[in-house]
Amino acid sequence: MIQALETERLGKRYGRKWALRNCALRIPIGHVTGLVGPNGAGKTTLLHLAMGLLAPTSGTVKVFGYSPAKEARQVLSKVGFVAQEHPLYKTFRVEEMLTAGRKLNANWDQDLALRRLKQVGIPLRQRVGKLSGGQQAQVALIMTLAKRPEMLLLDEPVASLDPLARREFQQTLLDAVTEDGLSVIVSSHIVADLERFCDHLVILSASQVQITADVDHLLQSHKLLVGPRDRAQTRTGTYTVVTSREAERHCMLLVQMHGPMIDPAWEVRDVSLEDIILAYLSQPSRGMAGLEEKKLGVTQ
Amino acid sequence: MEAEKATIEFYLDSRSGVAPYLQLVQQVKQALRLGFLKPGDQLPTVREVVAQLAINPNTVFKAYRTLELEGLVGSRPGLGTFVLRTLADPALESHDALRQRLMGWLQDAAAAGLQEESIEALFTNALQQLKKRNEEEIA
Amino acid sequence: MTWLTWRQHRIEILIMGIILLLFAAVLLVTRMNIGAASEKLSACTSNQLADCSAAQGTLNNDINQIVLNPLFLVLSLSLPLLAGMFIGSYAIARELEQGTYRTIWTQGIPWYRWLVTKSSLITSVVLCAFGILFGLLSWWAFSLTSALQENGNFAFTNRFDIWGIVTIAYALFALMLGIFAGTALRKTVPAMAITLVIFIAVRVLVATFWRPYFIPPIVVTTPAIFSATRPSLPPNAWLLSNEVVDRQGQPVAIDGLSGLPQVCSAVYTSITSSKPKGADMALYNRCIIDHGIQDRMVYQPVDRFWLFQGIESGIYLLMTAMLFALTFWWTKYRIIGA
Repeated sequence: MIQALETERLGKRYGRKWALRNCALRIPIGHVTGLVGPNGAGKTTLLHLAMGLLAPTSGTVKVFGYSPAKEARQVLSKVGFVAQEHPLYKTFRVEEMLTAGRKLNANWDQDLALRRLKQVGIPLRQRVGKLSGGQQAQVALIMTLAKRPEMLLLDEPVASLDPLARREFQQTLLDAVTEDGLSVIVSSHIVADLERFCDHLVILSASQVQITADVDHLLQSHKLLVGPRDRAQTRTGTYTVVTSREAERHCMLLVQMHGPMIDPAWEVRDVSLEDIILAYLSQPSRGMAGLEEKKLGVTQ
Repeated sequence: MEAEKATIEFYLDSRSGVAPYLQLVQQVKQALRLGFLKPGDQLPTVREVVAQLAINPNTVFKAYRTLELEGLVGSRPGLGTFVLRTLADPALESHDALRQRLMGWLQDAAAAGLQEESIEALFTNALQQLKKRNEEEIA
Repeated sequence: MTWLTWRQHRIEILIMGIILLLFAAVLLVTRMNIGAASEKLSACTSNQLADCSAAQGTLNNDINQIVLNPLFLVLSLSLPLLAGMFIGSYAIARELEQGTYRTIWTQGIPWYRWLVTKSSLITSVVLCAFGILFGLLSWWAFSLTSALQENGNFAFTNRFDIWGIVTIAYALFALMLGIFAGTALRKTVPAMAITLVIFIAVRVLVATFWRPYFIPPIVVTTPAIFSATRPSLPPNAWLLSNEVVDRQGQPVAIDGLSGLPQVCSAVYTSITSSKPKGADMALYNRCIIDHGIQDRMVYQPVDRFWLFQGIESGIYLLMTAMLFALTFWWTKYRIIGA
């Protein structure tokens, strides 16, 4: 089955330092996938490799089955990309950016672009440099939507936006996802919004993939266990610990459940996605990826 | 065009640890129980919910499909998703009686000197014990 | 991409157009003046009794107003560099520095198409602009050739860098140098600075050390004797050196006072001290011949002018092509990291 993004032992090295290494991912079509991790984790490198802005040092990357290096045109026609800080020509007017898009893309839906710009109230004659950060992000997003791609890759699109602009950007994006069935891969180092936004998650840390999983599955399978300290184990048939905190007599374990908890000594609490992500980020290379692979291929 | 009010307003608690689609399912069920949603009502379209909450459309699809599988709603292609049956207790009057007894108990607890948090802990503990007992009975 | 390139560079292109118009205007006006002065001179010289030095002087002045004008010279010499800095390095460096390339390379055309197309387009524009400039200058000089040659300030060297087709090659070289500098340095100011430094260095080095020897020069050696007939430099030739040398071809020491070879300077003094005027130089000449001292004149004749233009243009065009290949290589292996 063709994956939206598939990488095999993908790595990128600059001099002696690996920006990304040994990355193995299979991200299916039809999801909004969050790429989460701290700054410097390799998120931008991964997205640039997918778009052909960088070539791999090792391994392979395929987008919809195409190689970004060798089959650039196919990739570019199917995938839209918004780079970090959504770089646009500041002296161009909005309508001139649209013209640039129209001239450089084989497919271009000018009506869609105009409609969506009007929806968010962005004037066509205004120079891009005079727009607010949120508006510039919208222009960059709408430019990618107008080429009618099958997938969008977004590199920290809302990182520098105020909360209202962030919400408006997400609304434009999600509306397009609903309307066109777009796949989306969006990188972020802000974990707060991810739960509502993404249905799929890739956690990157220390230039490696820590875990990939379906969001609902993550939420349902990870729990907080509170109980007596002497009963705590790192791994049992019922659970595997991700992180733990110990007090004198009791402890709190953030675990992945493998089966129902029947031991009455443990209180079982739900954990927010944010806490699950932070737990995995703080414990690099826990290597849960293998277990989660089972849930990866879930289709509608 | 007159502004129509939606049949249900959803909200999302991102810190609860409950999967978003389950939260939507629970909110629909709660609304059905309380009579806010009645059979024949149309649930908001996926697009409307996405626009309201800025959530993933798959979440809404999943929630509606779960409700469909439980027989609570049905979708008519091109028309929307409609409520099929109610969860409201037939004996609504007993709800009133229960509510009054609850208020009485709360007043007793407050008179006994219990703070709000203690009352909540007491109640949560008792509810959990009830749940455990029910599960043991089923098992 | 044609629209995009135009839109991004329209200001520079307009400025080039304005400069061309200004040049055209100035050349037109001066050409008319010179035409009038030239006619006056012809009218004068057809009258064989008249003294035409005044008319000649006016004509020369009019010509030198352009040919020797410092502003004109500086402008003409720097135009290729300015094109390289502002159209080549500034534009490319800015695209990379501000990150807009990440947007442009992910639209519908891949980076290599962008690079080749953009380079071709701006090269064509610069080629046209400087072609027109060359055309204007050639038109101005065309029917004045003999007058210009009489003027003496329009000789081989004086007009090489500005009035020939090399200007076009300089501009293309500067452009591609700017493009490469912008690509390699990715920052606007350093890229423009490097373009400036390297362009000037190359121009100076090629003109000073290579150009004189494109074709082996003509060497005329005659004994350095006093004589009624001495070989002279052909008109408008490019004199490379005019030295007094010994049998082995090494320059001989020259006496500071007399300006004559030291070895025979004493002989000369002894002859002329007794008879300052009309002295018999035979002894001196004997000395010179005995020592094998010769005048050696090295020059390039003027009929090689266009050949030299072609060779130097070829050199700069070759460097331009190499710079383009280098830019492509750099983008592929250093930026993309293929």
